[in-house]
Amino acid sequence: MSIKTLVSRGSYYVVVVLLLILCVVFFLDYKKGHAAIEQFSDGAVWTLTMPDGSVYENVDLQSNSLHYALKEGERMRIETTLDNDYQGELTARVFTRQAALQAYVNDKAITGYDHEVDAHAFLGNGYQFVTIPIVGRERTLRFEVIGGRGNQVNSVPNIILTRSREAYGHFLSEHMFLVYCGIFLLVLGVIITCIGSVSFAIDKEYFPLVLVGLIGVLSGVWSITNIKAIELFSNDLARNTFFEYLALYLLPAPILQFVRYRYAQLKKNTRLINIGTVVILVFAVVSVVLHASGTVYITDLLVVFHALLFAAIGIVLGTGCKLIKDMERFEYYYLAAFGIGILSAIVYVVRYQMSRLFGFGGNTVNMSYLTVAILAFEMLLVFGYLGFMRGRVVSRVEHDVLEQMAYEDQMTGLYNRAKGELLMRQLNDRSTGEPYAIINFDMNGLKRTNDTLGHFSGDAMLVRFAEILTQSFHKIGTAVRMSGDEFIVVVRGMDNIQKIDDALQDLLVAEAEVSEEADYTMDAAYGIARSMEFLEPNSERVYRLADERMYQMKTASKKGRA
Amino acid sequence: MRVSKMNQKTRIWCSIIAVLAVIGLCFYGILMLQHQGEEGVTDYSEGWKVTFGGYSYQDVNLREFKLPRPAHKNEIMTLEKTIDPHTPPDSVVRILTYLSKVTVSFDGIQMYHYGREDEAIGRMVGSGYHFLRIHQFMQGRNLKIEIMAAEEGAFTNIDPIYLMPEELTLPSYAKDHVWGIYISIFLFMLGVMIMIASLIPADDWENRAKLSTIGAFSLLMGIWNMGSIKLLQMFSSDLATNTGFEYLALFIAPIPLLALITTLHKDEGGWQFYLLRVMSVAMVLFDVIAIVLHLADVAHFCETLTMFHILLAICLVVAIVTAIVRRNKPNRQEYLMNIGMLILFAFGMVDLIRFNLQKYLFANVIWMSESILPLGTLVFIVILVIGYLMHLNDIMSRETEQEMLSHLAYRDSMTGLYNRTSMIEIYEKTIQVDDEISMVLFDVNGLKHTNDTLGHAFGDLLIQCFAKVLEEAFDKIGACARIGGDEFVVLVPSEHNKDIDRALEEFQHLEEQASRDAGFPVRAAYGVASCNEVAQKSLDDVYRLADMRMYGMKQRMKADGISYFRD
Repeated sequence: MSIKTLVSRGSYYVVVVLLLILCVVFFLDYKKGHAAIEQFSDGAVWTLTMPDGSVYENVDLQSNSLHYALKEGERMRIETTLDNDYQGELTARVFTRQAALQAYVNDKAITGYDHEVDAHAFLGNGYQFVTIPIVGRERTLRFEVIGGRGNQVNSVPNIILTRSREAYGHFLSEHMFLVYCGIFLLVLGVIITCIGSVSFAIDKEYFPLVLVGLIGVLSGVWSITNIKAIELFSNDLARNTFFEYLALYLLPAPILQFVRYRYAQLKKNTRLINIGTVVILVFAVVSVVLHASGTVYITDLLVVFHALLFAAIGIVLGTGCKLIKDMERFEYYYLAAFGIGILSAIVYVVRYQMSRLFGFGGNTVNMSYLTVAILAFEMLLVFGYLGFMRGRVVSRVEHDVLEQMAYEDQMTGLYNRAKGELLMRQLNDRSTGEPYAIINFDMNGLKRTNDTLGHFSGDAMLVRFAEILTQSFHKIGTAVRMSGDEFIVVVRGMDNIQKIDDALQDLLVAEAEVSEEADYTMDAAYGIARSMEFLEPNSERVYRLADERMYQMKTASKKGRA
Repeated sequence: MRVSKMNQKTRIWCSIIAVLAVIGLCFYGILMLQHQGEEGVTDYSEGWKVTFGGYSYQDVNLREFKLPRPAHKNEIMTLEKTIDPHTPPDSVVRILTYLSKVTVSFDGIQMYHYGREDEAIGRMVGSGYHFLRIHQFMQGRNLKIEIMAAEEGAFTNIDPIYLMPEELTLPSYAKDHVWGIYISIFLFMLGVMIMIASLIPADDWENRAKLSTIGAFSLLMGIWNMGSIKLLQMFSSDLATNTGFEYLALFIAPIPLLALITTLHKDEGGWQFYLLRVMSVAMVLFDVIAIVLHLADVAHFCETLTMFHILLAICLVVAIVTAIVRRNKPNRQEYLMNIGMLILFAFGMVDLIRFNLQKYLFANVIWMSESILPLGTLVFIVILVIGYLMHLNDIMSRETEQEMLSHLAYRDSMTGLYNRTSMIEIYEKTIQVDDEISMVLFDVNGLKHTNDTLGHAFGDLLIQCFAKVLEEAFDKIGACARIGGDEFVVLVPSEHNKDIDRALEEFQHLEEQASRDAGFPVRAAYGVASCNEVAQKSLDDVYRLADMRMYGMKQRMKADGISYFRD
C-alpha cells in the first residue's frame, strides 16, 4: 500500500471517528445540562395517604418500593411542604397512569378542572405539568390522584419539581437520545415505506423493503408516544396512549411477514406464520373496537398482547434457522437483528409482569432500552436487506452473463448455432415484411490444414477467419458460426443488402492478405440467397438456397484446383 | 392474494395506496397539532413603541417594522407597551432575539435579563427565545424590553411577538416548527447511522469514504437546522453554546459535500479536479481559523459569517462550473447528485418567495410561516443516498460481469483448469517472451468405458478427480489445461523444467491415492516434449511429439496390464 493511500485511508478513519466523538460530546453536553437543573423536594419529604387509610411518611417518590394499584374512583393523596429557600414559581411534572390529577397549594385548587373528573373515561398515561404559583409564604403542596378504569401496574406517581422555566427542558433532556431515536425511526420508516412502495411497483422483489418501512413507522410511533415525547406536540394523553398501544399491537405483523418472506425463499412452511399474522391483525382490530365502544380499554389488553407476542416468538424460533456456518454474510445481520429483538421482547414482557405482580418502585419510563433495541433491530434489518439485494444483483448479472454465453461460440467469439437458429426464427416472425439475405460460408481446406499443420493451426485459421468476417460485415449484418467450419451472415434491410457486394470484396482482400502472411491459404466458398427471390419467403428455404449456392461454388473451385 | 403472484398493475395500485396511507398519517399527525396550538395564542406584535438610534416610533406593528439600518454593536432597541389589564394572568410573552442581550423591566423594576454574563467573559451572546411571564400585578403596567446588539449588525428588525398561556409555550413552538423538528433530528441521526455503517468493512474503503461524506453532510445539516429553529433551546437554555453549535455545523457542512464532488471528478482529473481540491483545502483552512478565533473570543462565528458566505458562493460557482464543463458524460451517481442540487436550489428559491410573500402579504397564514428548506435538504440527502446505492450497484454489476467473463472465457467449466483457447494463448505468449517451453500431455484412461458402463455422471466424476490430482501435482510449476474430453496439458516454463520429473513422481503417487479414495482407477498416460526438440517451436509439432510419446506409454501400460480398460 502506497504512502498516499495509507494517509488517505488513515485520515478518513480519523475524520469519521472525530465526527462520531463530536456527536457523543453533543449528547453528553446536553445531558450535563440536564443534570445541572435543580430539582426541588426530591428527597424523602413526601407523605402518602392510600385509599385504605394507611399513611406513609418520609417517602422518596423517585426511589421507593411502595406499590398500590388504584381502582376506579379511589383517591391517593400525596403531600409535602416546600422548602422556603426558593420562593419562585415551580412546575411539577407528574406521571399518571389511567388516573386524573388534582393539585392544591395551601388548600387552594390550582389545576383547572371545569367538570367533575370522569373516572370512567379513558384517561391514558402521561406526564402532567402543573404550575405551582408564587404565594409569598410557605407553600404546602397536595396532589390527589384519582384512579380511572382499568388494571393498573402501580399508581404511585413520580413527581419532579423544577423551576417553571426549566420544566420542559428538564423533561426533554432527560430522554434526549431516546426522543431522537424515536423521531428517526418514524421518519426513516416513512421514507423507506415510500421508496419501498415505488420499488415494489417496479419489481416485486422489493416487497420486504416495504415491510421494513412499516416496521420503522410503527416502532417510531410507539417510541415517541412511549417516551411521551409526543407531549411536545399533543397533550391529549388519552389519544397519545391509544396510539402508543395500537402501534405496539400492530408491530409484530410486519415483522412476522418479513420472516415469512425470508422463509418462503428458503422453501420452509409458512402457514403458521401467516396464521400468526392474521391473529395479530385481528387482535389489533378487536382491541380498537372494544376501546372505542368503551367496553375494554386498549391498555387492559396488554396481557393478551404479551401472550400473543410469546406465541409469535415461539413460531419464529420453532421454524428454525440455518446453522451459522451455512449462513451467508447478510444473514448474520438478520440473525443479530432477531437475536436482539427476541431477547429484548422477552426481557420486556418478563420485567413488566414482574413489576405488576411484585410491584417494583415508581419509576416510569425504564423501558428505554427497548427503543434502542428496536433501533438496532431496524438498522440491522436494513443492512441485512441491502446485503441480500447485493447478492441478488450478483446473481442477476451471473444469469445474464451465462445467458449471453449460451449464445456465444467460445472459440471465435461469434454467435453460435443456437443464436443462429433463434435469428432465423425471428426472421420468420417478422410481420414487417422487411427483406433479408443469408450468406453461407464454408472454409475451404480446413481439413487439409488440420492434417498437415495440426489441429491448433486449424483452430487459429478459424479464429482468424471469424475476425475478418466480422470486420467486413459488422456494419451490415450479424455473423454466426453454425458448426465446425460453417459460417453464415444474416443481413436485414434493403440498404444493407445492397452493400453485400462491397463487404464480400473486403473479405476477399482480407483473405488474400492473411494467406500471404500465414502458412495456409484462407479461402472460403460462399452462397447468397435473398428473401425477395421467394414468393413466400421462409428463412429455412433461404438458408438452404444459400447453402446450395455455396456448395456449387465449392465444387467449382475444387474442379479448378485439379 | 400471494405477494409473489401479484401482477404489476396490482402492485402499482398497492404501492399508491401504501404511499398515500403513510403520507396521510403524517399529515394527520401534523394537522392534529396545528389545530391544538391555535387556540389561546395571540399575536402580540401590535401597539408597540419602538425607540432606536435617537428616534421614537409610535404604535408600531412589529411585523411590518424594519429599522432604518442594521444595529451597530452595543446599540439598543427599546420596545415598550402597556399591558392590557384584561390580559389573563400567568400568560407568557415569547420573543426571539439574535445575538443580543436582553433586559426586561416593569415600571423600572427589572424582571429578566439575559446575556450579561456571557458578554462579561467575552463569550458570544447567543440567539434564541425568551419567555416573559405576565404576573397579575403587571396588568395595566408598562412593559419595557431592551435589546442590545452584542455583535455588529445583529438585527434589522424584530420577529413577531406572541402572547400565550404558559402551558402552550412548548406546543406553540412545536406547531411552528413541525417540519424543522422532525427533519433536523432525522438528518442528524441519519448522518450518525450512515457514518457508523461506513465503518463496517463490507466494501473497499474508497466507497465507504464516499458514503461517510454523505453521512457527515447529513449530520451537520441536521445540527445546523436544529440550531436555526432553536430546537436546541428545548434541551438547554445555554443559548451561547446552542448558537455556537449552529454556526460550527454550518461552517463545516460544505467540506464533506466538496469532498464527495471531488471524488466524482477524480478519475477525470484535469483542472476541474485540482480546482475542487483547492476549494476543499481553502474551506478547511478557513474553518480552522474561524474556530480558533471563536474559541479565543477574538472574532466570533457571527463575525466571520460574511467571509464564509463569500467562500460558499465561490464553492457553489466552482461546483456548477465543474458540473457543466465536463470531459466525459456524468455517470449515474453524479447525474443524480446534480438533480438533487437542482431540487435543493429550487426549494431555496421557493422558500425565498414564500418568505417574502409571508412577510409582506400573508402574514397570518400559518402554513406559510415555516421554512421548507429543511425539507429540500432532506430530499437532497435522500437522493444522494439513492445515488450512492445505485453507484454501488453499477460497480458490482460491472465487476461481477468482468470476473465472470474472464473466468468463463479462459476456463474449462467442469474442472476449473484452463481451456483449449487459453492454452494456445499461454503457449504463444510464453514462446514470445521466453523462447522456451515444455509440454506434458496427458490422456485419461478409460473415460469412454466409464461413460458406457457407469454413465456420464461417473465419467464427469473421473475427469474432475483427475483434474484435481493434476492440479495438485503441477500447479506450482506450470499451467494446467483441459484441451479435450480426456486430454490434459501442462505447459511448463523454462525455470521449472528441472522440476518436471519430481512432479511426475508426485503425480503418480497422487493417482494411486485418488484411485483408492474414489474406488475406481484414476490413471493417465503421458508424454513430455520440449519446444527445442521441434523445428520452429510450433505448437502443433510439440503436441504431435508429446502425443507420440504418450501413445507409447499407453501401449506399454496395456502390455503391463496396468490399464484396466480398453481405450
